[in-house]
Amino acid sequence: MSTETLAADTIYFSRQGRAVLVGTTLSLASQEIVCLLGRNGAGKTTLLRILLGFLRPDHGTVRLDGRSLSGVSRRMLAQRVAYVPQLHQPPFPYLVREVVGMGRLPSTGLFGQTSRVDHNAVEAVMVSLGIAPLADRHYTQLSAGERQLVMIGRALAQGARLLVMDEPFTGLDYGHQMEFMDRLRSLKGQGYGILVTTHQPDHAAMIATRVTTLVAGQIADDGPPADVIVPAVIRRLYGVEMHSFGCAQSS
Amino acid sequence: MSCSLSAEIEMKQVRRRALWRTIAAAGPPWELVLAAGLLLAMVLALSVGKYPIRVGEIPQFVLASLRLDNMAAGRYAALANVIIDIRLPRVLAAVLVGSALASSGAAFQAVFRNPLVSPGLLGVLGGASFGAALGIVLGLSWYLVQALAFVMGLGAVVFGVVVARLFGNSSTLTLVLGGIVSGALFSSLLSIIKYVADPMNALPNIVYWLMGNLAQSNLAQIAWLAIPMVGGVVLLGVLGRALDALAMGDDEARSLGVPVGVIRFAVIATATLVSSLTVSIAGMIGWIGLIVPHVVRLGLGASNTRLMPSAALFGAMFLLGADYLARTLVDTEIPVGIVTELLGIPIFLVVLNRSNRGWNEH
Repeated sequence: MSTETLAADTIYFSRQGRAVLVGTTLSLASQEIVCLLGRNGAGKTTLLRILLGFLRPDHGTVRLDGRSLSGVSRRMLAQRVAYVPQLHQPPFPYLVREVVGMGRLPSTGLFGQTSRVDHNAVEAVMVSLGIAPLADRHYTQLSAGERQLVMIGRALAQGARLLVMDEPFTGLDYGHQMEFMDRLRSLKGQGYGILVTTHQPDHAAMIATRVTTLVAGQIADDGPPADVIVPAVIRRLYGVEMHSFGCAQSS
Repeated sequence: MSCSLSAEIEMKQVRRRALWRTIAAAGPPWELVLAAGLLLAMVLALSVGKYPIRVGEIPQFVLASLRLDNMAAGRYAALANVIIDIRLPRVLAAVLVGSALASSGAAFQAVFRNPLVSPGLLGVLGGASFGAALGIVLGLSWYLVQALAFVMGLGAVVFGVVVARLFGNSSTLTLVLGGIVSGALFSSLLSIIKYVADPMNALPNIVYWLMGNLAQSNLAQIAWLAIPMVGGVVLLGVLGRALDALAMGDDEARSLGVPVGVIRFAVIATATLVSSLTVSIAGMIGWIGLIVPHVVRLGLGASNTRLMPSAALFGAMFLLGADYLARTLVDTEIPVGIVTELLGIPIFLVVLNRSNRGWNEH
């Protein structure tokens, strides 16, 4: 399987006169899970939106396999890179199979008819994620964990191999967070490249192949979790002392 | 040999079962069922009224017109007068207006991601009504009154969008706010017109127009308005998949390869065009754009690929039914806008109650 990469190179972006990103460089490749840490308002979501081509940076380029995004059509990009948004409720009660089916839009085009191929692709994705029994349920009536899986299903139905997820753990209870991390590990094992923003360094420590931190508009750290999730970095990121993960300290 | 043969037969059966399940999941072709229902409703609507015509006479009349059947000349002339000159314009107007309002309502609900939105939202109906009232006061010809209604409908939308832009972006919320401001502006302008209008002549005309009625329609007018209206409804109908993606959110639609800005502009422009043209034909007819999409969504699901054409067909049937009541409920005719309002409120309450689980959950 060839390696695919999505890379932001020295990105500058400011909003209403305030510099949000100042020379940010971040990349994602197949078979890795990259966690992006940063304070509230650090610009994590902005960086994701630039990587996904939703926003155009003031300076700097985003490249997909070395090609600048400005030369890649939105539809082509959608077949290579998928976006998993934060949990939300759509205003209309779509069925699970309809939501996953929206992932076929980039392949068929806006006016294309869905064929047996699309139908089978949607079924296969739902079976692989274990959500086939939910196919005819209303997406709006699912639990947070189930909805998150449906969003992943839509991303996989796009056929994209690079997945960009904005705070996918938010809104999930502890058990679902653990299950979700297993799911991400298994997707990585299948060759997917996954970029995840999170507020929790312990999640990053558990699943990431690389951890990056966004501080003052730049990537301050980029390395394996053991090198990045250390007291000095956590202090710089969040201004708190880190003692240990996994068990509560009693004194 | 026999083993592989039986395996092959089994595979075929599995495939056939899978195909059958696909067909069963899709359900009957509801669009065709609705289209047939609409045709039947049109024939029925042509047969009812003060002058009695049997339903069976209508296909007979059609055949006679095509010179495939014979009909007594006197009866033929009478039917031609009643059906073609009096009832057909009205039936066609009901179909055009009902389908345009329902499909533009469904489209607005999808692009604004708000199930409570209707063609009134961007001030379309308010602006168009002001235009019509202005035309009546100025004593313009009926065609110019209609043209002015359309221009002011568009003007109200442009004003709403400009207000939204003043707040820096064109997000859903600011567009809705812009629409509210625009609607308020045009309704106060309308009040000024009503205040200065000649109370003996122009004022009753304005008030009657605003109540919404199909009695003014004539074939020539319908013929030229049908082109943009049917075109717009068809365009909205084929944009179903894009509307589904847009309903999930701008970024998600972009991530699915949808050119969000272009599609949203096209949908708003088209929906505005067809709904302000309804004001040109029939004045203000409320509630159809709001409730018909909800009723169809309850029955056939939220997917816009099915909702858009079905809402257009069902909206046409709904307004035909309302107009039937308007013509026959009491001795004198009631403006159909009043009937849709009276029907719309209880239907909306039922729909709200039924679909509460679907979209009001947090």
